Amino acid sequence: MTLGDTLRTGLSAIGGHRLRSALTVLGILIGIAAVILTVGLGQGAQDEVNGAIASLGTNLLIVTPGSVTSGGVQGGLGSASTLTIGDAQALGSHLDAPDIAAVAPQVQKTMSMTAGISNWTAPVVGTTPSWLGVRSRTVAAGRFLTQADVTSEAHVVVLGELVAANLFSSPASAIGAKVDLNGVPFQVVGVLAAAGSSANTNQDNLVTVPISTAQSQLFGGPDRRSVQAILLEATSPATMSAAYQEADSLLLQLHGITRPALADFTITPQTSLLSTASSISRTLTVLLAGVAAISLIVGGIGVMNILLVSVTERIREIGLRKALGATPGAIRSQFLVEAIILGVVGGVGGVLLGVIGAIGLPHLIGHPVTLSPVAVVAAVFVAALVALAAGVYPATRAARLVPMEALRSE
Amino acid sequence: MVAGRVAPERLGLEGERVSLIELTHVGKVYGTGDVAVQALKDASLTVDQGEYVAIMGPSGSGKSTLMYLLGCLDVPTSGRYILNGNDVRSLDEIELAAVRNHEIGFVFQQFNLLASLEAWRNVELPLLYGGERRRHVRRDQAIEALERVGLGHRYHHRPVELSGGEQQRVAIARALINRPALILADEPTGSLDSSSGTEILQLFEELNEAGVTIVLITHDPGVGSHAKRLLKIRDGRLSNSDARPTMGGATVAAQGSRRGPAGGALGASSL
Ligand SMILES: Nc1ncnc2c1ncn2[C@@H]1O[C@H](COP(=O)(O)OP(=O)(O)OP(=O)(O)O)[C@@H](O)[C@H]1O
Ligand SMILES: [Mg+2]
Repeated sequence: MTLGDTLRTGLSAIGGHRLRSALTVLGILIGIAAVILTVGLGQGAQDEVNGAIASLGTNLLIVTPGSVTSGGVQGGLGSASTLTIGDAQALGSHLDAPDIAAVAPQVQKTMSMTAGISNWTAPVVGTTPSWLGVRSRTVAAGRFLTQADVTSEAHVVVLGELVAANLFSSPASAIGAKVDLNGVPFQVVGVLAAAGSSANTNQDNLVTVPISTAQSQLFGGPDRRSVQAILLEATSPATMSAAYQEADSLLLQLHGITRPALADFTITPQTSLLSTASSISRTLTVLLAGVAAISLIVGGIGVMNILLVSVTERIREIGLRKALGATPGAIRSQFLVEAIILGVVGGVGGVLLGVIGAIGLPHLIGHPVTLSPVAVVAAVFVAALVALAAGVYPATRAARLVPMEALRSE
Repeated sequence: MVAGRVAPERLGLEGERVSLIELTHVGKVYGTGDVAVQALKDASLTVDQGEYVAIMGPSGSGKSTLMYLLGCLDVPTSGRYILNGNDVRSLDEIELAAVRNHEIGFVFQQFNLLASLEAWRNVELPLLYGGERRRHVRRDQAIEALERVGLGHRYHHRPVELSGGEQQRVAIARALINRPALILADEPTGSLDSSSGTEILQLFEELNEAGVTIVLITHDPGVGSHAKRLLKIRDGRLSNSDARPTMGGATVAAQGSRRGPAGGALGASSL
């Protein structure tokens, strides 16, 4: 028998019970589509995180108040304000910290803002001009904050892209307009270029104001010199650890702390935050793919079931084929080919459904889905393999039938 | 294993018989212990090439059991079976499949055609399992075999589109296609009306004239009378009151000699 003959035999057997075959194929199909989609979703999330790492720069250090002790995290972001503008100025010294290229102190609070009749709520970031470079951002229209704005406590604001879009018809029309932050009037001097979102924060949903203005006019509070974070940019990715050391020893010295274990601040490389996010999304992908794989196995059990039914139902046919000279091997391959056809049809259908889903799903749930050609090819292969494995037992049973018994059965 | 119909002139012209089937003290027990059924007891039988033998007996007498053994679809519990010079016991599964494929053509009471396949694709199956890879060759030969049974024009019809008699003729074409040494028919007319049954029996007679060895199993004396030699089976025992048509040549089919005196054909002793 040639492969074509075996295929033809398998196809006509499948054609003999179309509905049952279709349902079996559906099981495999859903399994494959699920695997493709979940892997694609996970890959999409990971790509997003990786993109964010690249856009944020790999040489960013974040200094936050509080410290990690053996008892756990002491204080949250900005809760114990042990960091000051003075710390930021000291870290900016090229003499004491030669590997730190730029420093941007930061205070932040979410506020409502109005422009004419439009209003919006977004985090207001008080910072210095170096923030732009440290965060690897660019300005789409107008200008960023200047040192003069900080010195004069100017009432100027630079809008994130999302804020500008919600308050004004276009970035250009925002320039020069008036925005009230918690009722305090500010003038828009610039709009940031879009940066997308990273680690669950939309980088375009914020506004920046001079840190001095924020502290004196907006946030109030008793201590007008404390900051919630100091962003440091190392001169290059290679000098990250040197920059870390310099910042660490300088801050210990400034805070008069002799034992590093008692440090009242924490320095975190931005990349480590993101790689945590990335590894979380990877874990999630594996988990989801695992669930999807289980559904694929269930599909395989479906194939085994239909073939066992098929063997029982066609026991006389098997007896007849043996009487006509079919060897056990010929009978076995007949059933295996049937299994593989079901698997491949299910696999190809699953890929189609998966691809359609990958195109449609992002519109529905707002998460990107990355399809990898390798995963698609592997999915069809795995489907055929699962079906083949499921077919082995029924096929072997058919091959072992004694022809006399098979022919006598009704 | 040499397959193929034996030319009539090979038989009898020199007065020499070539035995095709040699069954010696064969027994068959189904099941074991309390449920064991001795379906065949100490059966000995010799069938020469070119013979047309009917085995007759009532229901449950062991006819089908005997046919399954003769057709290598089952193995004897005891005794020896030599088919065309090969001891069946020494053959493995694959060799047995080859024997069934080349040496034997089966005709069943229920026709046993595959409903999803057209007539010619049913007929080509033995060629397919025999290793003929060229589809057009299989098709041509299948149509040729169908022509031989008078159904050349119905080659593309499915079994449901054919009458019972036609279906049985398709089954006979399938049995003939590999030019087997032996046709084994188990109640071939059992599911047919009398006129279709007569047609089938006529076809068998023609085939036998052409040299095909036929063993026909039936419970119907009217059917059995068409054979040149009649064996009876009862309660698993083959009676030795069988008759050989003539002593001189197996192809001579004198109607009257069908029930002639016992020819001592049982066992190897007759050779
Ligand atoms: N697989 C089996 N297991 C146990 N007993 C069996 C089996 N097959 C047949 N028998 C028994 O063996 C005996 C002979 O059966 P067999 O089928 O050979 O009879 P038969 O002469 O062909 O009858 P019929 O004319 O009804 O077809 C019967 O008593 C039957 O019940
Ligand atoms: Mg029977």
